[in-house]
Amino acid sequence: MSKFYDKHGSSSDDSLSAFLDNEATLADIEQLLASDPMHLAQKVDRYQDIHQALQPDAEVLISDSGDFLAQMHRKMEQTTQESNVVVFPNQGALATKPEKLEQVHLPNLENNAPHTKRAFFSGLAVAASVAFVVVLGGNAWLSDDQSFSSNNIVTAQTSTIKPAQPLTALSAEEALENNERLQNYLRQHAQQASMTVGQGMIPMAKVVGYPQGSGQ
Amino acid sequence: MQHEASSDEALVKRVQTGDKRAFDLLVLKYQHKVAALVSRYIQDKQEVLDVAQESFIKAYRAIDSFRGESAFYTWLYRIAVNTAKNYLVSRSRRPPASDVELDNEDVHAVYSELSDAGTPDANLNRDRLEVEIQNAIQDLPEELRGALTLREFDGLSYEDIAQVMDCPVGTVRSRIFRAREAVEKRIRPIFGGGE
Repeated sequence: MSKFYDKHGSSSDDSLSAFLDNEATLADIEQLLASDPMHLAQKVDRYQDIHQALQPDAEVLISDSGDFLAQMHRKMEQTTQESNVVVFPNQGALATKPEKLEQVHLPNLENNAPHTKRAFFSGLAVAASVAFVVVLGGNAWLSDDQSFSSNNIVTAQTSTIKPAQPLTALSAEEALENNERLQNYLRQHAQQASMTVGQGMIPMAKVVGYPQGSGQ
Repeated sequence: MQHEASSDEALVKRVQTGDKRAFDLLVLKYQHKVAALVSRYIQDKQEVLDVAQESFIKAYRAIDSFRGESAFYTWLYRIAVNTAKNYLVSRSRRPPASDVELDNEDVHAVYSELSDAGTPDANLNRDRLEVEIQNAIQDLPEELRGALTLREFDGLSYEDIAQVMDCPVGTVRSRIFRAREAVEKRIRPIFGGGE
């Protein structure tokens, strides 16, 4: 068999001949896959020349299969590289999946001032709407005496809380007592908050000024 | 025909698993037929080559969607026809009113009137090449010439040729290959190749 191929070409050429005639076996395919593509391309061109000589009406459009194949590979690589570049809207390019983070072109926000302003105002509008709903909901909740029961909140101070009365109805002594209780509550709350929260504020902090010259 | 289906199918499966060399083989096999098909829509030779390459690239990218419900070449030809039509539309040219036939064998014969007919030197070389090939075929032994002619001119399958020539299919395959190699050896000097 090898003597046959020494005289008449390689076994891959034999496989190629059968392959082009739609008569290749799986063994031929394996043989061709292991062969040099450029050698095969050259052979295909010569076989095509022979085909054309026997089919005068056939036009040879591809005279260099190797070149055709190489050009196609270049175009494939080119389109692959282009499709891997991701550019966000307003940058005027394609937006497809990136393979690397470096290939992601972040949008230039400085050039999008009108868009940023619009986003700012729409955000402001949303925040205002949320605040309005919260205030409205809070008022509705406080005014709903039926659904609200102070007994549900159990604290040390709840037992001493008296029903709210108009200021005019309180005596001066009662008002003083109430105020003292409120201040006491606020102090306790603030101290608790300063222990548990980093940003807890210290109530009634006072900047004390010392008389100049004293203590020196 | 069974060989055709199985070899194309095997190559497509390999491409689907990422083997690019398998796709190169499919390109080598069908490039002339695809270019011939495209040339029925597009006159300019360079444009024909560009659209043919574009067709193969589209086929490669869509190969995962090919499920083997039709023959690979039918699928490929359909892509080529659509690519050619889209190309004409993108160039504001009208595609043909009726589709060309997607017949595998029919694509061999292209009656195209290409604007790029080639330079005088190229035409001279082409004429010289054809004369040399015709002489080489005439000089072949009878059994080789018969097998090659039945295949190339009449388009018969190896099995049909085996029946006509009353010999095994393997012998037909061998004869056709040897005939091609003998002719190729004769025309090699025209392309600057050595012995």
